[in-house]
Amino acid sequence: MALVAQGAGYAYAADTRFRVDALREVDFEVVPGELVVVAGTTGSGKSTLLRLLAGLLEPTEGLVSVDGIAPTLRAARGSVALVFQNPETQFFAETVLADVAFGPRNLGSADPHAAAREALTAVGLDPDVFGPRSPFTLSGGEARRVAIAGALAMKAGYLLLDEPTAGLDARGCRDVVDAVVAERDRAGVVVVTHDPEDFLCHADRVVALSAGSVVISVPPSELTHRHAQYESSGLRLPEVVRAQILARQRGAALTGVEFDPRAAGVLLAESLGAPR
Amino acid sequence: MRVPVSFGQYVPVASAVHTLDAKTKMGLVASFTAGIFLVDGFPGMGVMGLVVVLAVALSRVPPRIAVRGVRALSFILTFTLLAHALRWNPATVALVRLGPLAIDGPGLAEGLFFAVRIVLLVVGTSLLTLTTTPVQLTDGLERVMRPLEIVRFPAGEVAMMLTIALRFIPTTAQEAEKIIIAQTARGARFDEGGPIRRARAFVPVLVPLFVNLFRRAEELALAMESRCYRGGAGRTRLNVSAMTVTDWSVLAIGTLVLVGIGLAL
Amino acid sequence: MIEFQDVGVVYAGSDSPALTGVSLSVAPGQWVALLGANGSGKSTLARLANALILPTTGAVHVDGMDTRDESVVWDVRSRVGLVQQSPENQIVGTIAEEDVAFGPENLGIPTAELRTRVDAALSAVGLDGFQRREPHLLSEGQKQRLAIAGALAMRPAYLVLDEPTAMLDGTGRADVLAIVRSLRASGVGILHITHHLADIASADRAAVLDSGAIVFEGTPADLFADPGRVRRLGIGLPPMTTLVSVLRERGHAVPATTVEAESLVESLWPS
Repeated sequence: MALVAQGAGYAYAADTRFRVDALREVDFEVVPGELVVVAGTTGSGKSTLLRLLAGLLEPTEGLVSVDGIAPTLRAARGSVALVFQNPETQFFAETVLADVAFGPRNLGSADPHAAAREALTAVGLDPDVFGPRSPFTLSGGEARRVAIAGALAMKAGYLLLDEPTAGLDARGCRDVVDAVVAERDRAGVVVVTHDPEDFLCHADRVVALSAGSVVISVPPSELTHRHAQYESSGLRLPEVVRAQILARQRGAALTGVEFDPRAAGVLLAESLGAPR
Repeated sequence: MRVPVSFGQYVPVASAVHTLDAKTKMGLVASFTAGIFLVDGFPGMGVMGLVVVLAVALSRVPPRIAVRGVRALSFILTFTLLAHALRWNPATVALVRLGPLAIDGPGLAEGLFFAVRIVLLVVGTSLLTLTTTPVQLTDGLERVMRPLEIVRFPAGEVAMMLTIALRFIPTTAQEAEKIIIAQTARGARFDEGGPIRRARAFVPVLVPLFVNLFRRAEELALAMESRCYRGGAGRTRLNVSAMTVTDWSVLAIGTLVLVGIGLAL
Repeated sequence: MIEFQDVGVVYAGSDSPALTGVSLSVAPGQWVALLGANGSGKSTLARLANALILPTTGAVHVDGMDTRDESVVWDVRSRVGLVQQSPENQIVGTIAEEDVAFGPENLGIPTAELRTRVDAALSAVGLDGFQRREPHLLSEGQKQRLAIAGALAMRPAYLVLDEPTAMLDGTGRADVLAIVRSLRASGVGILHITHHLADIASADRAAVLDSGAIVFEGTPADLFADPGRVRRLGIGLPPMTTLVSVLRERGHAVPATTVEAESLVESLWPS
């Protein structure tokens, strides 16, 4: 059971002289119960990877498989769900419930509304309160969570999200992170983002992409040892983590790395001892 | 699934035709149209054909692209040809006879004449958009329409509308493609069932597309107002395309020749 | 000076006011940050500054001109540039230079000067050489910088930025903030609306808007020094600020506004 890419590559306009290699020889794997963060700057190929994993594109090299099956569009439906960037711009139904039920209905679910209600509950929205509302009247964080519920309702084994917290305020951000992290209990979760800070402390693995290739793929705790490599891909580690790396370079005796800012503060304070 | 974008058919090659001012080309297209409607025989049409071939050659637009517009007209061309060629019980010698319907020589010639006229007209006029960027085109249009402001025609506003339409065509096409992919990922199918089912399948694409367009329009209006847009009056332009001596001479000679052919042949 | 005096706004058809009793001022060369959660009334305030919205009560003055005076509205708008959150929806031109020229064209600036202004504005935002680029081929960060150039070409005395970094990635964000700093240095007054506290560490003043009212006004340092309060106001606390507050609670000398790892380490482990 895994969503896997093996030596996967993708080139746009492959057979023409305008060929652009968006992705080269990418090995990637996520299993149910896992949260993997794919970090990359604009143009790193992260969105292409997401589309390959979702079966929206077929790899021009290598292969992609979901639980052993190549995810052509038909096969992937129901096994991989994808939440695009700013998914709330794709709302179309008159009510939140009808919009969330769109996916399960397309998949021929026996009771799309039940699936929709369950998905709304999973993202922390009461279906009785939000279900009958128009999706066009929601706040930023609510709208984003409804859009995520639209993917959850398809009950896929893998959930892929593109920049799930982009453009949200602090509260919206927190609610979305909670909803996404909670999904790990039901699915393998892949979050693609240019700023992994919100998800880093929850992630099982961080994959950094640069110019279409995987630069590193490590548990977050190892990022401190590999930070030069990570930052060579144009990404920047969270300031809280960088502070610990820099402190160590200046001679502070630190063991391990903390992603939680409060814990990181305590760690730094302890290494400093009593204030001068 | 991709959204077919057939706009922006501008062909970016360097040629004498490309360097002409948009207004010159508009004038020539007008003269050409007048000329081709004035011609009343195959000799004249033949000369007009040569003019078109010469113009395409000068423009360096690949002939394949230059005639692309004709393919879309195959139905109209067939219709034109048959409408003129088919006669009801003609007294003349028929070439082909289908019961009371028949095709005779003069009818076929007439049909061919009109069909060739359509083909030449399409190829000739499409050279304008093939060799002129949309920006040059709207600018030229504004200048050409300016005299109409005397009769209160809002030339500046119309040009601004065209500019904004051009600006947002690629954005909207990108967005439509994005929404189609997103709904596909949610299991939507756009290629199943009969025509009604297929049309209905596009509701989840069209609704968000229009909602986003309206939101965009609202924000754009605010942005324009905050940048002091208050209609065409009093506006200056960054890029003012001026007619050169070459432009004026090409326009004058071209018009004389084109209308001359029309009147003479 | 842009002066908001006891401004209240009630939208037609709405029972609750969008803003109540807001007083705030922005002087030339001053960077004023306005923070608030979504729906706090931030965008309303931005639009008041250049007469896109008129106050229901109170008044807004720009260099002494009342925005309700219809005869000065174009003066006000040419003096106060507005850049909104979504760059895509404020770009009018089909190529970059035409978009930048749009504002000054509306002001009737002669063609020769338009060219100077357009090139200078593009250069000020680091888009030299992008003159003939089509907007849909630009990255989000470049689009936002193009939008700023469009406002700058009008040579405004003030610039209102409504969440200019919300759609941008790290690099795009840093680029925009660098532009803000250099504009302040050149004497432009800036009203910077955001929900990112980390963006405003070097602003001159900070105000917080909550449910349409100003609930804090002071320096960014005052705000950073009171993380509990920031959180209560619904504004996201930069993780570094949480870290810094732990160190400060334990008596370590770190400035409250520290948002970068380098400056933190420099003050704790001086080289």
